[in-house]
Amino acid sequence: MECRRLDKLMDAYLDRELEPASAAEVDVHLAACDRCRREWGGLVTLLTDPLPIEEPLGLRGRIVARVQEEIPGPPARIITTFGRTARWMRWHRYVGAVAACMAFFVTGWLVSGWWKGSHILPTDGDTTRSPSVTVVASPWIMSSLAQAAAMTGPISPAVLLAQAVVPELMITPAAMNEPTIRMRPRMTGKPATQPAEPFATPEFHVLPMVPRFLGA
Amino acid sequence: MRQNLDDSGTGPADLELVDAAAKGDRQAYGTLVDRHLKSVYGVALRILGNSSDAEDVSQDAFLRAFERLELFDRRWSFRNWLLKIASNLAINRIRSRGRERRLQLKIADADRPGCEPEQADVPSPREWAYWLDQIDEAQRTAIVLFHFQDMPYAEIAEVLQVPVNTVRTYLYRGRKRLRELMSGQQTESG
Repeated sequence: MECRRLDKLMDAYLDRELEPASAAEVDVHLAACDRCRREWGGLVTLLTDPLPIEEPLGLRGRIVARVQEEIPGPPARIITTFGRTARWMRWHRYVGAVAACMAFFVTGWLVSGWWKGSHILPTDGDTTRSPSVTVVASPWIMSSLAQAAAMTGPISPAVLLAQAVVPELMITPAAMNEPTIRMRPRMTGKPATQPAEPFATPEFHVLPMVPRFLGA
Repeated sequence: MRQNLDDSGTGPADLELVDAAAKGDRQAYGTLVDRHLKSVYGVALRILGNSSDAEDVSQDAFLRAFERLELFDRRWSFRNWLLKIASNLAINRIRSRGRERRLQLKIADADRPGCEPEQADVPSPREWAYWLDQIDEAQRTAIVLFHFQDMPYAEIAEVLQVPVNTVRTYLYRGRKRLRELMSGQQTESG
């Protein structure tokens, strides 16, 4: 092994990340090379073979006596209660994050109910507009969904959730700078009053509401 | 005669002892002290550099751990959780006497340049107290926990409240500083 190669390997060697064979090569080189032993030997010795430590006599007894003196009973219950809560929160941080996301969507859903929506989709005889479509078609919701679709594509959680709740929604970021949201015609069983046209499904363009940087 | 304590961990598992101690079983807590005192004292001593402070910090660490047994995160080992407490206490103690410490380091630095130490004055690489004293407390703590206590990066990061990459940086810079000092000392002494 060359000295230059050893210099490159020493950090991994000290981090214990080398394969055993490579670590053995390093050991052999350090034992044989004066230059590398002068450069690295002291540090390796310090980190692998330092002088031992001995505890002062009676330290254990002093510690136990002090714990007994300062905390005569079991650990305080107030700590226990807080500790249980803190531990639960640590373990369930992901549950908390999901709950926060759900609360966000539900809040938006409820808020959007206040919007009657100036961008109400036109209907024809084959398309019925359910109340949920009206709610989702509000500007705030539609722009949020369009932004989510533009950023993450049709599989974003927001889009999937909206599509799950409102089956008529068909969200496809046809172009990254012009995401569109279409409404599928719902099959009502009524005979069509107008001849079917290609792409007759009304489209809702949300470009004005999409921040420009999303389309850059 | 000083005693060496054994922390082999035989007998009930640490978690069982923790549960018993949380309900007030002092004997269980005494067993935990027996098992982990060597590690805790060793970390405190290597960070602080003197046995008096190290003993105080060790006592404080076990006392605080007993008070907060319910906060013990079982994703950790009990030993590493204790070492986290001890390290933080040791670092706080260093910082609380920061001004005095910086003055001591300045005096130590002033003595070094221009000096031609005799070979007998150059500390052995095994004299960890001297060498670890030459680097700052964050690098020192990272080196002590990683090299002397085999603590993984993620737990050292939690102890120091820094990202894992910062722990790697501390280790790298601390070792680099030590290497430069040691190889420089060896050059001066011939």
